[in-house]
Amino acid sequence: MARIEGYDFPDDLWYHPPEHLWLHPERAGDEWLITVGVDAVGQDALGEVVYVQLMDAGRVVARGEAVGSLEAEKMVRPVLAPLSGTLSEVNGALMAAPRLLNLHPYDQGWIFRMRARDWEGEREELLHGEERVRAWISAELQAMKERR
Amino acid sequence: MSGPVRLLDLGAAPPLRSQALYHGLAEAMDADSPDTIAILRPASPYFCVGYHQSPRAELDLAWCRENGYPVIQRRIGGGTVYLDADQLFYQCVFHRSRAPFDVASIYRRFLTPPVRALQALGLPATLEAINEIEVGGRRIAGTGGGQIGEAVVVVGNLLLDFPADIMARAWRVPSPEFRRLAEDGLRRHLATLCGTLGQRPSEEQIRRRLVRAYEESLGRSLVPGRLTRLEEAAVRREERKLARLDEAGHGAGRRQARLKVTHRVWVHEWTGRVGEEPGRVTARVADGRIEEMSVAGAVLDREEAERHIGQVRDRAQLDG
Repeated sequence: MARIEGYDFPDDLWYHPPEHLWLHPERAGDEWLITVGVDAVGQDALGEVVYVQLMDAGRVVARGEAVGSLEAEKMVRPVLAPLSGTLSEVNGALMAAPRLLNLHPYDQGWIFRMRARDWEGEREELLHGEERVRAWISAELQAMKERR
Repeated sequence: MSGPVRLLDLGAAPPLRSQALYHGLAEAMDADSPDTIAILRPASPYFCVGYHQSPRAELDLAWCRENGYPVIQRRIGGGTVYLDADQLFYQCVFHRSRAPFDVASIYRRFLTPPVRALQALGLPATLEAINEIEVGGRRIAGTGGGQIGEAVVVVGNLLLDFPADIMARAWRVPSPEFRRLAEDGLRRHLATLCGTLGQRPSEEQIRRRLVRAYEESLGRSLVPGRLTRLEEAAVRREERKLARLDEAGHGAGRRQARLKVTHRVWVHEWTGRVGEEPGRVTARVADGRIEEMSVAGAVLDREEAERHIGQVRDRAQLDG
């Protein structure tokens, strides 16, 4: 677990910098099942999440396509798919209690699971490994301070 | 980019256009588009529902239709609002690369200027709880925000005057007592420019103060401009989309027995049985304390009634 300026970044996860998403890949036969959530910096930047709305499982989505939306502090943001694939499960508990995303971003606050169409190919655009994640988050926090 | 911000000073706009404008600007935006601030007021009254709400759960839609009030569901956040020509809109549409990332900073950047404009008009305005503009603890403007396409959008409406009775009548509520407490809550906890200043300020004066405050706060000049042909087409597309109201919307299909009057003030209702008797407790809670409470049906003592309200309030806080 990397701890960067007070934010936790588990080592076993992959990260999608533009949207501050985390991804947890698991082999399921010859497929990759990916669990997706918002990372610690992302959830802190959002503020208190009060609504989470997601498409139904089974939907085929392209990378970058909106699979739902969330609202915090009267601000609506799309939830974008970090990979292409098929939504296999959405977190009903999170939709019922959106604060789980703030309270437990890396476990109970997961957002959706998807079967990746091309995990090996598309993961090139993700970050993994403490050194790379630490460099990204340090730069990101600095940029956020400058943009305030 | 630290160039000028485009100013769209539009005067009065029909209800659909007053909402479609920022949707269309945002949809058409890319990194080369000008950041834009629009100042306008709606030409006629309507209700506007937040993205994650259900219009039919929020509003008595039949009453709205009978009384000629259009209902529009926007794609940004916040609650259900009544909007009319006594409100001045400011709509900020900035490319996301030129806006802060975190929500608190976004609001601070785009809502500090309206606060300063109010201060310049002589009102002790402050920005509270991230996105509430208040005067003396009473809300004087609405706020909504969102990310649409590549744009960050923050919109607000300064209240020159506000008809609490119309807003309260339109809300879909579980009981007449609930409506009464909600309406009283609006009267007590909303401020208006006319009410606070004791006279109606000129709209031109407010516009000038707003423009100057945005220029000073952003450190960028606001230069009058107009929509491009592409933006005009995007706004028209959004007008067509917003005109088709999905009454179910995106929220829960029925109102839960709570209503937010301002970020400090909620109305809650508990219904249940006390022994064999049905009972109902309705309360307006301000800053965590019961401001007014009404008990109907089964006889409850005050302590028991407060306990029921405390339970529904705690559950509401857990659910968000």
